[in-house]
Amino acid sequence: MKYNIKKLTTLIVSLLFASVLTFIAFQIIPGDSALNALGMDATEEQLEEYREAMGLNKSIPVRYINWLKDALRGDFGYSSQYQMQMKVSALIRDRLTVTLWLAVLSFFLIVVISIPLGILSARKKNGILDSFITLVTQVFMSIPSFFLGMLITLIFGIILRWFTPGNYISPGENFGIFLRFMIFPAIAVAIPKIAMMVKFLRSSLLREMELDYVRTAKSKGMTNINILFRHILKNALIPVITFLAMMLADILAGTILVEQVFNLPGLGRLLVSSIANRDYAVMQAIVLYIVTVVIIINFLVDLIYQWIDPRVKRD
Amino acid sequence: MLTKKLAKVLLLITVFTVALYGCSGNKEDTNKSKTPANEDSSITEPTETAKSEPTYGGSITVGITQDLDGLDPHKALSAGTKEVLFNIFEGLVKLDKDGNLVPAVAESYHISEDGMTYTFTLREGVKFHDGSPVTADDVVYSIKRSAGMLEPKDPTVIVESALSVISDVVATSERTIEIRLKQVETELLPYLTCSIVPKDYEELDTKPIGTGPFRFVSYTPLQSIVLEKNDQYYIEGVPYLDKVTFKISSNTDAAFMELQAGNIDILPYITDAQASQLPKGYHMESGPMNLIQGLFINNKVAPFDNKLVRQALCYAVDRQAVIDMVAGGRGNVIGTNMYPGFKKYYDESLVNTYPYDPEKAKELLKEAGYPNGFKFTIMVPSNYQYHIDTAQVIVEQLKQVGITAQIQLIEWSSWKSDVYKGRKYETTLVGLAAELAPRKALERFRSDAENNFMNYINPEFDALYKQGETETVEEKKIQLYKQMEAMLTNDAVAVYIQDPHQMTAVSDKLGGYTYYPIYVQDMSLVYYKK
Repeated sequence: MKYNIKKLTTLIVSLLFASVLTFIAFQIIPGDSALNALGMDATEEQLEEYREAMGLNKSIPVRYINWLKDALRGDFGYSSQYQMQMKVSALIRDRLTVTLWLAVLSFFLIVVISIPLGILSARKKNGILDSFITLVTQVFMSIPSFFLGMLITLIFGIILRWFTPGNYISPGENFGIFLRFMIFPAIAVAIPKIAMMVKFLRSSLLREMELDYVRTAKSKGMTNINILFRHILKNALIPVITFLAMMLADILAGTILVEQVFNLPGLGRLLVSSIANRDYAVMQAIVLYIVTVVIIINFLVDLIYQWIDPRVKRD
Repeated sequence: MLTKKLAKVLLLITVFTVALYGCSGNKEDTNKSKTPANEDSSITEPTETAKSEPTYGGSITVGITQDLDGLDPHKALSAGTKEVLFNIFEGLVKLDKDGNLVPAVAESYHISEDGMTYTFTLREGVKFHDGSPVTADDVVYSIKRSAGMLEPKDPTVIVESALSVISDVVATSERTIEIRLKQVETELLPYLTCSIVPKDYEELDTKPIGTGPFRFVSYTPLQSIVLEKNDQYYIEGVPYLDKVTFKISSNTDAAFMELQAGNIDILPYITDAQASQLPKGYHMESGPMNLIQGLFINNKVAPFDNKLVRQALCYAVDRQAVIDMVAGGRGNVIGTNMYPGFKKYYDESLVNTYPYDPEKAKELLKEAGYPNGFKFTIMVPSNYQYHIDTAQVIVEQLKQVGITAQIQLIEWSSWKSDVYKGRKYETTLVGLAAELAPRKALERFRSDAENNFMNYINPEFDALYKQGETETVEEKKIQLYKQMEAMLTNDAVAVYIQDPHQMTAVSDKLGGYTYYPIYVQDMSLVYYKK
């Protein structure tokens, strides 16, 4: 219990710290949001009026506290790139659905494909199959997912016409078409990660296989498969879970480029256009979301650790 | 280890060959399947396409690469939004494709002898998209809102500064309104294109209602805006299409990919490279953008405070070569700061003031005290590839006369605050987009203008400008404007380059796509060919 409270405090402090940091960072970058909202030829007077109305002329600490107060109530204000006509929370909620779907789909692909492949590769260590898997993962690991996205669009979208590039349809409209479209960006996101995961799982398993308890188990007459699934896998899984969690955070936060390539109306595209338009309210909310995701996932990993390996708690 | 690496390389090669083979193999396929009818359709000039007969009905998708910044026409700022909203909203008057003002919500207007009062008679039977008739009160409300005259003020309404000469707007009867001015203003009419909206309507932000040829159906940020035909439109026979979807893409490349996939019927602002890669079934149409592209100079910083240096730059730039290299020759050389679309006011002869003459440029540099040239930077907004390309060609040309120019890319938002507002730059290469009235092109050169980002100070110019502002006789006004233009050219305020052409990919099935002198995507004239 004490352990959990300690972790929870760290979580809250890191969140607060991150929010201060992002708030300040966005104040420092050049560009003027009043100028962006009213246009290049707005007079100084109009700009002042706008800053006054939007509270942009108050000092940074005052603005931060005002923002924090509203944010805690779930109110992130209005988006300036939509001329203060759209609520940031609504804007983000809609975009988030797309990004979450993408994350869930690609995470599913990663787990379903990489774990069997990793186990297979470790079992057939140095065999033909293993060498082949190693080779392929080497290649795919080094291709960034946005480039894979372009290749996929070219091959499956334009040449084979398995899907229509850019033709995103929201899940509410037609779930089948939605899924058929989303699977391609999900593959683009998943492939490099699958490659990393396979490699990681393989080496993690091999490391465990060389340990004494495996030999002991073997001498007691257990079959290889039994040893693998009942003992090795459980021990090898701890680093793998960390790795998976890092990946999940990475996907949830970092599908920005892939969203651009596939023209998905997700959080990444919103972030890019918000930065271009100096839409502070939206930028802050998105960055805060990303930070929160990373921190919370880390927190959950800590919890899972002690569930798998109770020794962690005692340290 | 070595074999592993070699294997990797081999595999990579295989992957790419497969991918490339995929491309070429498919091209052959489409070649075989194409019909003789669209054999030579890839690039044709617009005149040929306007012939066949229009039909009614059908729906199209138009690609746009910028999200709308709002649906309320008095709050929207970006040109990309306005060109879409043009289909939903109209003003008392409306611009046609030749840049003439034609009556829209108003049927006729009358300007009093002293030029201080404009009286408009509303067209009978004009209805908003919700079915309610347009009243004089709606018009008064709309103009006041756009001019920032409503109380309490809404700070998010973008006040149209040109309407600030209005002292009052009143409804004199059910169908007439009177606009009274503070002073004589000869260029007010173009700004009365400002959108007419229903009085005190609260939902303009989400459910915009106007009088235009199309009515609003739905909008999803970052995805699309859907419009449908306004059956009650007051012009008979327009629009042709039942439904228009503007699809928002993240960038031109993504949009072009969708076009290649056949998702988009019309894609404006394609690049030169894209124009040459149009898939079968599409053709390219092009027309002048009415944009003043130039290398704009901060006239206050050394060495550009010396007129000779600025003139040397003008001589050293081969503008036709720039157009040929950057845009495949699609563009018109310009010589001064006036939108070429205002033909009456634009002095075309100024194009010849500075012919390409590197020798002359070197001479001027010597005279100015820079026999060995000098170094300077060109700020270019990083989101405008076209301007970056242009700057690169110019850098090469300037090398010929010993000037070393360096391109510095700057993010658009910073450009606005640092270069345009802050005037912290030496030179910058951008385009000045067309405004509704010609005077806007000259306004910024007034010594005290807030948007005089070139720091041009010339009392003679100020005097001429003042005269031009109140001149009511058109001939005299034209003369004054041309005098000002000549002054700007002779002082070499900037290196004026070109009015680029915009290129639009249009499906071969469609006709009626029309260019306007301002940014407009008029879908009311587009139709499916028989």
